[in-house]
Amino acid sequence: MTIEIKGLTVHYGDSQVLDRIDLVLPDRGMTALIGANGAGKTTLLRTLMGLVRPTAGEIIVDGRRMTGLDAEQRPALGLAMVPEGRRLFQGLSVHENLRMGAFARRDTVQIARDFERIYDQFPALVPLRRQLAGTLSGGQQQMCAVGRALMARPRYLLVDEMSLGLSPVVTEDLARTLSRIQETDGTSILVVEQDVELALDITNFGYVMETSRIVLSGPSDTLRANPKIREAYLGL
Amino acid sequence: MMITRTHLALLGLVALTLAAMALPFLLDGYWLRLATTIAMFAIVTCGLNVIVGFAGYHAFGNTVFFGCGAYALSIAMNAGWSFSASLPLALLAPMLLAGLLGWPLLRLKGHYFAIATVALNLAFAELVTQAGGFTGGANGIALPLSDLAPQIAYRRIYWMMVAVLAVCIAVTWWLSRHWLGTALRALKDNESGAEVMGIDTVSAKILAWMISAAMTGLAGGIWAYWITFIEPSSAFDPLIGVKAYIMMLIGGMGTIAGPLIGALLLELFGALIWAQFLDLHRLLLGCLIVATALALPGGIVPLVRRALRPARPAR
Repeated sequence: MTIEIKGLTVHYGDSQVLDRIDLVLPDRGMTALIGANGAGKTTLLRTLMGLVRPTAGEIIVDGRRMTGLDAEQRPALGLAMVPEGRRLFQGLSVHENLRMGAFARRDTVQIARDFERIYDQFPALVPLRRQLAGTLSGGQQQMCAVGRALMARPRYLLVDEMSLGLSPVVTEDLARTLSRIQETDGTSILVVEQDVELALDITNFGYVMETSRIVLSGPSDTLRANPKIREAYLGL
Repeated sequence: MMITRTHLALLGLVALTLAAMALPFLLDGYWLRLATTIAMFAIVTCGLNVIVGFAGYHAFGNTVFFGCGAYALSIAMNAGWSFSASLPLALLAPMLLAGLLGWPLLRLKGHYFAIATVALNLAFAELVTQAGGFTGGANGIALPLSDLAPQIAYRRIYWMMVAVLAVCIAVTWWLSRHWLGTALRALKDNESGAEVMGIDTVSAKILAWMISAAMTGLAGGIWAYWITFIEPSSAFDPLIGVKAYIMMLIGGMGTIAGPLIGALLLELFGALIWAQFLDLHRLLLGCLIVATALALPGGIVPLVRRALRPARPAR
């Protein structure tokens, strides 16, 4: 599944948050979107999911224009997001949260199998299935949030600031899980990360955002070798 | 066939309903009236629980559906319809109202929605008062009297209230396991999050409010038939909604048994205690709201549930 973004512009009130963004998220593989706080990365994801309306430009998914599609109609197209800060449904149990991920699906039999797959990927969630999501630790919540997004069987998974507030061990674990899912299911993944090193480590291609614009793009290895990136983001 | 928790729950509900149905043979007029009131308020609270407890939309003005149901039944009966032909109207008219007005109103959030529903209730009371003619205007409407002996009629009304209550509890229970109920609890937590999951939140909220309105309206319809005379100030009395709110808070928001437990406690409390302090009863009611919010923020049902569950071993 390919996502094409053309001239995407977003305003919050008078201030411009995205300025004529052009980018192509390739089919298959993992792509990184990196950049400082306030560059507009999260806004870009929220616009992709239909939570923010663009003032100009368009998003094309597999040749289909998304303009005018409400947020609730997008999961059926194969888009799912792991939002920044987990955003689990606190009053629902872990299992119910996962069930919500599959809300747009009607293939009951396959959903039951996918529950098992998620619990296989995240065995730590098994004893917690009936526990309220609000009572979980940060790492457990992040696993649940990734699991919830995977329950949608997305063709494109958007992951926003997965590492935020998590220990390096948990973060690495989740990153490995994402790579595994990408390989086994062929799910395309976009990672938005402040942990630039991690992001460039697990992806093949990257975009760099700075104050509302895409300023740089290229294969992840090339980006990592770029002196500007090394200085600004990797502290080398 | 295996006996599951579902079967046990259903069996419990049926047993409880039958037991409640037998009560009129044991109670005198005063206590039967109280029992009818309890069942009526439990229905109204069930209705409130669907939109507030599940969906998290604070419909302070839900009384509008009570009045709407009461007036729909009264107008139909005065037009010569039988009671059994009129009762469905007490369900359908409020449902229709919720469906039509929910479309714009349920896009409001938080306080704005709460205030809009209060305004809706006030507006309806005014509309009915000014309409005159078939609504009776400020003079109210008297309903045709039943041919039955009062004692028999009151028993039947009580039975009807209990039957409707049983159905409302069953519907709440069904909702708690159905995708709609889970979707409502999800959007209560995080509405845009629910949309990202593919939930059509506006439709889910409208459905919830229609269920809520149907329950509330039925209670209003039977109530009108019971007291045989209604007027705007009694049918659209905001205090009905306020009491239901307290009952829901006492019992436990979003729970299945909460509305019944809350109605039972508050009405019994009222009959036993504040009937002795007629001048102070609103003050006591206010104090009770404060005390409940402070001491029992989640209500009685979650408290009991926590007490019954064995302590979890530390992980």
